[in-house]
Amino acid sequence: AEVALVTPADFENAINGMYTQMESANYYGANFMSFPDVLTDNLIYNPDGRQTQRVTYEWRYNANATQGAFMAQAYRVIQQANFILENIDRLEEGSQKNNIRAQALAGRALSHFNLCNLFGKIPTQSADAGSALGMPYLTSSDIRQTPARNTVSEVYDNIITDLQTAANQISSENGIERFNRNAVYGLLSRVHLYAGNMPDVVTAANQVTASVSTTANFPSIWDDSSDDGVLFELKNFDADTNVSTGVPYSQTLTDGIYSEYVVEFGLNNLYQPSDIRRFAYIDTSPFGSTGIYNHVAKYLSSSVNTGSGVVDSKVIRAAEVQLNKAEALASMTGQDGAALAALDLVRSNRYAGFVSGGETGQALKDAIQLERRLELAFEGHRFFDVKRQGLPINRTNAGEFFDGTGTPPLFLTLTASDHRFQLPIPKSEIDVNPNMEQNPGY
Amino acid sequence: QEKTITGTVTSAADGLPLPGVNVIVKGTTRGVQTDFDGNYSIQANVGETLVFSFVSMKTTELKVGASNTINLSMEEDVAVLQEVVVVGFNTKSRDQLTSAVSNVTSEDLERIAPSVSIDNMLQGQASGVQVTAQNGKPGQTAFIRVRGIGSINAGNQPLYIVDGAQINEEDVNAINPNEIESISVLKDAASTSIYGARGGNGVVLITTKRGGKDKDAVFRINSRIGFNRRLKDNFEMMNAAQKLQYERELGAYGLNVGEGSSISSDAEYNRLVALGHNWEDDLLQDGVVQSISFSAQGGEDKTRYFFSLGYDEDTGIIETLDAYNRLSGRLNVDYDAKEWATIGTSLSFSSIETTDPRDRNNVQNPFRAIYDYNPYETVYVQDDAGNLILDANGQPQFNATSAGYPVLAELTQNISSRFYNRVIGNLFLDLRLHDNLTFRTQGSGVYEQYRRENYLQPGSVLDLIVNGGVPTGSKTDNGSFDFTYTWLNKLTYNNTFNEVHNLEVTALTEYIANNFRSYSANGQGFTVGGPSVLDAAATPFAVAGARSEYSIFSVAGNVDYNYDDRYIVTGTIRRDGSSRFGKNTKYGTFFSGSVAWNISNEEFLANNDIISNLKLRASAGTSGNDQIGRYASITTYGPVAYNNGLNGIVPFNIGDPNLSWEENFNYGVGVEFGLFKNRVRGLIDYYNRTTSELLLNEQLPFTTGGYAVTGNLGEMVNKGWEFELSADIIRNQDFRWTVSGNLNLYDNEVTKLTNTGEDLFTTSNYYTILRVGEEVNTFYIPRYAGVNPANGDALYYDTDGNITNEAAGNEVALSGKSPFAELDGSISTTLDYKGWDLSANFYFKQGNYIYNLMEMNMLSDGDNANSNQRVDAFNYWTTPGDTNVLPRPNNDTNQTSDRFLQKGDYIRLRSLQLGYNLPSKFTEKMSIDALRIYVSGTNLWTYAPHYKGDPEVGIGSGETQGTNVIPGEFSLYSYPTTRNLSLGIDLKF
Repeated sequence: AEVALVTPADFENAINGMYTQMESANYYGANFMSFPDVLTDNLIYNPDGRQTQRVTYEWRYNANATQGAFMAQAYRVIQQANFILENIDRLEEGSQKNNIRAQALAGRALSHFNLCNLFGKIPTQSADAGSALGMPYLTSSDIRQTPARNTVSEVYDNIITDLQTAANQISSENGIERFNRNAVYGLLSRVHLYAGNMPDVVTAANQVTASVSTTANFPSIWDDSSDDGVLFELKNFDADTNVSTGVPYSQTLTDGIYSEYVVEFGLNNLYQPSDIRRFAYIDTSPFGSTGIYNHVAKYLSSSVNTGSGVVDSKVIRAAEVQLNKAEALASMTGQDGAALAALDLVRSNRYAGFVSGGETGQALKDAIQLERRLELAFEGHRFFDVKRQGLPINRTNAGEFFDGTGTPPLFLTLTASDHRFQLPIPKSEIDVNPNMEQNPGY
Repeated sequence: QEKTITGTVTSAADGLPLPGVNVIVKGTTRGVQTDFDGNYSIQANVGETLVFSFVSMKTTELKVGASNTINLSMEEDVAVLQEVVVVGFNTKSRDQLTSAVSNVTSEDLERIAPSVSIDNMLQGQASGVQVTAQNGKPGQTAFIRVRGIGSINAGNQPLYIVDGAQINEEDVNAINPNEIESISVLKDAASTSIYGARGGNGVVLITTKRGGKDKDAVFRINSRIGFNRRLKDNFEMMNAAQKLQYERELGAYGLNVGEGSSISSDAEYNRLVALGHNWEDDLLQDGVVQSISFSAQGGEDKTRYFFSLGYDEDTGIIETLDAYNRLSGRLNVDYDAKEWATIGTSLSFSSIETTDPRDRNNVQNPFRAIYDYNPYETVYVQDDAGNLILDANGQPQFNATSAGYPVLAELTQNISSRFYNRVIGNLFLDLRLHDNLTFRTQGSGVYEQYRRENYLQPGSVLDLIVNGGVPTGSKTDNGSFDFTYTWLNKLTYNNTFNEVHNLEVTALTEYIANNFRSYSANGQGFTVGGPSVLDAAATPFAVAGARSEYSIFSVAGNVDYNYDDRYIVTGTIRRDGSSRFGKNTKYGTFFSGSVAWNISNEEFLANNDIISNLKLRASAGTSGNDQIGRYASITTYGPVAYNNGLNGIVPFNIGDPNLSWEENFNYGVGVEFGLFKNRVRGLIDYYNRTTSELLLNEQLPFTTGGYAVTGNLGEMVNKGWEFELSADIIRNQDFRWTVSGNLNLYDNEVTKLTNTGEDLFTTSNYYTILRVGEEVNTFYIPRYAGVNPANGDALYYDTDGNITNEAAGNEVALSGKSPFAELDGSISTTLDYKGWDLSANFYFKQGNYIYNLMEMNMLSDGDNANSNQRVDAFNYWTTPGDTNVLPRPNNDTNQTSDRFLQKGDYIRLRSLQLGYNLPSKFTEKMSIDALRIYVSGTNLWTYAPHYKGDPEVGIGSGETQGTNVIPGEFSLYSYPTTRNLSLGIDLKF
C-alpha cells in the first residue's frame, strides 16, 4: 500500500510493531534489563568475562560512550506511538480506536519516563529536581524536529496525563503481552511514586486487580512457564523478536555459565535461605576451572524457546505495585498498618514459613526498601530506586567469586550528589540537535 | 656491378626467421620474397638500395655495398602493432584514444603469477587503478579503486562489464582468467560518461577471447598445481616457557592469568612447558591449488569460435576445510549469416562451491585462535598425567582452552557452504546496412543462483551452547536468484572524407533491468548423526524471503572526429532514467568532451631520431554513481513479528524524494611518449575528480529515533598524478630485457558534509571520521602519550593536549592519517632469453595507516593475557625511571589509542614467474605448436617497516564490517594473505 496506516488492521500491526521496538535488544529486550543494575550495587563485574558494559559499571561513561542506543530506541517507540496517534482519526470512533490510542499513549509515556529517569533527574531525587533538565517530551512523529529538553516536572506532568488517558480508554481484555488496564495503573503507581505523589500511588495501585504470584508459581515465571503476577511483559519468541535477554548477564557454555556480571556479594547475603528468590534468582555454580560464582539465574533459559536466554521481558509485576503502595503508605501518617499489609502480600509469597515482622516507622520503611531490592533485582530497577531517594551507591568490597573472594570493584562508591547519576547525552545528539543541552558535569 | 645478394631476415622481437618479407630494389620492379626460413636471394648493383617491407614491421632500406650478404633484423612497427583497446561501446587503437584508459591483455596476464580471480592479478598492472586483495580467502575478489575514493556510502566499486553484461564486484571470480582477451579500465570522464549514472567510479571492461577468421584451431591446455601457506609474521609469539614465565610475572601484579600465575611446583611448570606446541600447525595446513583448463580457438570463412572448459580448486589453509571449487565453461561464436549480417554469442557458465570459516572477531575464528591459544594448552582435554579424557562416547574432547571454545569443533562440526551458479553471456546481431553504417542489437545478461547451507550439528559444542546444553541442531538454507539483463541497440556511422577527415558517430539506447529474489528457511531439531536436509528437522523454525527490482533506460551518443590522425576531438552525451532515483530526480544527463594531438604524426617530427611517439590529450566531463540502493528514496514500513507470529510494522527506511546519483566532474590532461624507436615508453597523467551530491546518511537526532536519512549532501575531491615508464634495456634477437614501473600519487579531501555538525560518522566508520578539510575517513582516536616513568601508567593526551590516564573521550582527528595510501605503484621487469622468460612484479604502497587491533590483543598489558601474547610484551615497566617500555601490567581496560595505529607502507614481490618454452625442434617432433613450463610464486617477499602483521589489509573482519568495508581501516583476524608457489604447463597444439 502507498499509505502505511489506513485500516484497523494497519493500526493493530503498528501497535505490534511498537511492542517489537520495545523488545529490541537496545531497550527492554536486553539493555534496559541490565544496565540499570550494572550501574549499582546489585552486580559485580567478572574480570574473566568478556568485559561488556565495563564503562557503565565503572561509571566512566562520557558523551562518546553512553546509553545512546537505548536513547534512540526509546525515542523510536515514541515516534511510532506518535505516528499512530497522528493518524488515529482514520479509525471510526469506538472501543478499538480507544484501545489503540491507549496503548500508544502508554508506550509514549513509559518511554519518556525511562528516558527522563536515566538522563535527567527524578522528582524526588533532590529539591531542584523538578526544575532540572528532563528530556524532550515529544508529541509529533516528525523525525526532523530538533527538540529541546523539558524540565523534569513538565515531563512527569505529560507522562501522568498520557497514562491517565490510557487508563481510561484501554481495553480490559488486553492480555499481559500488551499494555492493559492493570499494567497502566501499575505503571501509574510507579510514576506517582517517583514523582512523590504518595496518595496517587495508592489510588493507582488499588485499581490493579491482579495478585502477587504465589511461592509455588514464582520460579516458573523466569522460564516463562508461568505468568502469575506479571502485569505486562514483552513477548520474546525465537522466531520473531528473538532477543537474548540474558546475554548481558551470562551465556551458558559447556563449561558452565559464563558470566559478565554476577550477584554482588552483599546482595547475595541478603537473600535468606528461606527466600524462594535465593534459588529462583541465583545459580551458584562453577565455570570450568575458573571458579564458583553466584550467577544471575533470571534469564538463563525459557521453557518456550530453545535460544539461550530468550525469555520474555517483564515490564511490570503485581509485586512491584504492592511495594509501590507499601512505600507510599509508609510515608503517609498513620498508614503503617496498611503499608505492612501490602508489604506482607509480597513477603508471604516469598519466604517459607513466613511470619510478619510487624515493623513500623523506619524499620518498616527499611523493610520495604530491602524487599524492593530483593524482589526487583536484575529487572532494571535498582539504579532508579537508589537515585530517586537521593542515596549513594555503595558496593561491597568483595570479589566476583561466590564467597566474595576475587577482585573487588575498582570503584566502590558513587556519592548521591555525583553528576554521573544523570547519564551524559550522546555527543552525536548534541552534534545534530542544536537545541539539545548536555547535562552538567560532562 | 650487378651481383647476387643473399641474406636472412629475422624478427628483432623474437629472433625468429620471417618468411614472406618483400625485398625490392628501390626504384625498380625487381623483387623477391623471403622463404620459410627467412632467406632470400636477389640481384642488385652496388649503390642500389634494397627495401624490406612486411606487414606490421618497419619498412627498412639498406644500401648494397661490398658485401654479398645482407642480413636484417626487422623491427616491429610500433605504430601499426598498437593494441586495440576496448573503450565503451567501441574499440580504438591506442593512437586514436583521447582518454585515460589502462589496458591489460592476455599476453600481459600470462606473465603474472596466476590467481583464480582475475582482479587480484591486476594489482600494479594499471596505473591509477588501486587493487587491494579483500583478504586471503580462496576465490576472494579484490577491491578495485579507480583514481581514488569517489564515494563514502554509495560504494566505490567500479562498473564491471563482461562482454556487455553488467556484473558485480563479487561476480568477478566467476570468470576463468584463461578466457580473458583483455581488460580495459576506463578512468576519466571522456571514457566513462558514456556509461552515464553508472560510470562514476570508473569502468572495468572485460572482453573474452573470440576466434579469428581462417585460423586453424589452436588447442590449448593450461594446468598448474601449487601450494599456499600463510605469510610468516614479522613478529614472534611466546612459546610455552615464555608464556608461563609471563603469566608468573603478571601474578606479581595481582593478575590471575593462565596457568602460570598459580604454578606451585617445578614439576608442574615442566609438565606445562613440555606440552608446548604451535597451534598454527594444528589449525592450519598448506593449501593446495589446482587448475586445469582446455580451450579451442579458431575459425574459417564464415564461422569463428572460442571454446573453453576449466576447473579450479583451492583448498585454502584451514585444516579440514576445502575452501573453493570452480567449474567453468565458455563458448563464443561468430557466424557470418549474410555478407552483411553476423550473428554471435558469448556464453559462459560457472559453478562455484565454497566452504567458509567464520570471519568474525570471536572464538569461532581459527585465525584468531592461532594467536590466542596458549602454546601449553593441548588440542584435546588431558589429565595431568597426559592421558586423554574421553567423553561418554569414548571420544577425545576438544580442549576449550582459555578462550572458552574449541575452534576445531567449529571447523569439523558446523559447516557453512555457499554455491553459486552463474550464466553470463550475450547474443548479438550485427548488420552492415551500408558501407558506412552498421547496426548492432545485443541482449546480454547475468543470471546468478546462489545458495548457502549452514548446518549446526546436533550435540556439537556450539549447539550445546546456543541451546542450553540440549542437543538440537539447526539448519539454514538460504539463497537468491538474481537476473540482470541489458538490451542494447547501437547504430554507428563511420566515414573518411578527403582521406584526412575521419568521422565516427554512434547513437545507442540501452535498457537494463534486474530482478532479485531471496529466501531463507531454518529448521531445528535434528537427529545426532542423521541427515542434515531441512526435511529432517523436527520443527520448521523460521522462513524469510524478499524481492527487489530496478531498471534503467538510457539514450546516448558519441562523436569522434579525427583529422589526419593528428587532431582528435570526441564528444559524448548520455541521458539516464533510473528507478533508483527519487520521484523528483528520475532523469539525469551526462556528457564529456576530449581532445588529443598526436604530435609525432606531424611533419616536423616525422623522422625524428629521438621522439618516436608523442601525444597530448585533455578531457573533461561528468558521470554518476548510482549505487545508492534500490528504494532508498522512498519511505517504507516493513514487517516484523510479535508474540509468536502476529504481524507488526515498523519504519524500514526514511526516504528522500530528491535522492539522486552521486555526480562526478572529472578533468584531466596527459602526455604519452615514446623515445628512441619506442625503446622507452611512458605517460604522465594528471586528474582532478570532484564528486558532488555525495550520498551521506544524515544522522537525525536520537530524540526522534536516531534514524539516518540518505541524501545527496557531501562533496569530495580526488586529485592525482599517474606516471608510467617502460624501457627495453636490451632488445636484440636472443635477449630482451624490459623494466617498467608505474607510480600513482593520490590526494583526497572532503570538501562538504551534511549541514549539521562538521564531523560525520557512518556505520562503516569504526576508528575514523569524516571531516571537512581532511582526507576521507581520517583516523579519529585518542593519542597515546607513552608510559609514565614514575609508575608505569599508560598516558594519553586529552583533546587539549594535556596528559591524562583516560583515553576514552579524548578522540581527535589525526590529520593526514587515513586508511588510504598517498602513493602506490609497481616495478616490474621481464627478461626473455632464447626460450627462457622471467617476470617479476613488485607492488608498493605508502602513506596509509592501519589500526592494528590484533596487536592490541597481543600486547595487552595484562588485559588479554589469558591469551597468548607477543614476545615483546615482556618489555613492560617495572621500575621507576624505565623508559621505552610498555605500560605496567594491570587489569585496566586496554584502551584504544594511536599506540596501535601503524603506517601500512610496504613493498612486496607480488609475482615472480620463470618460464621455459621448449625449442621448436622438439615441439615439431612432438607435433605440437608450443609447450611452456613455468614456476611462479606470489607474495614471496615483503618489506613492511612499520606494520606488525601483514600490511595488505582489505577486510578487517568480514562479519563485523558487512558490505560497507573501508579497506584497510583495521585488521582483525580476517583470512590472512598467503604465499603461493605453483608449477604449470601451457601446451598448444
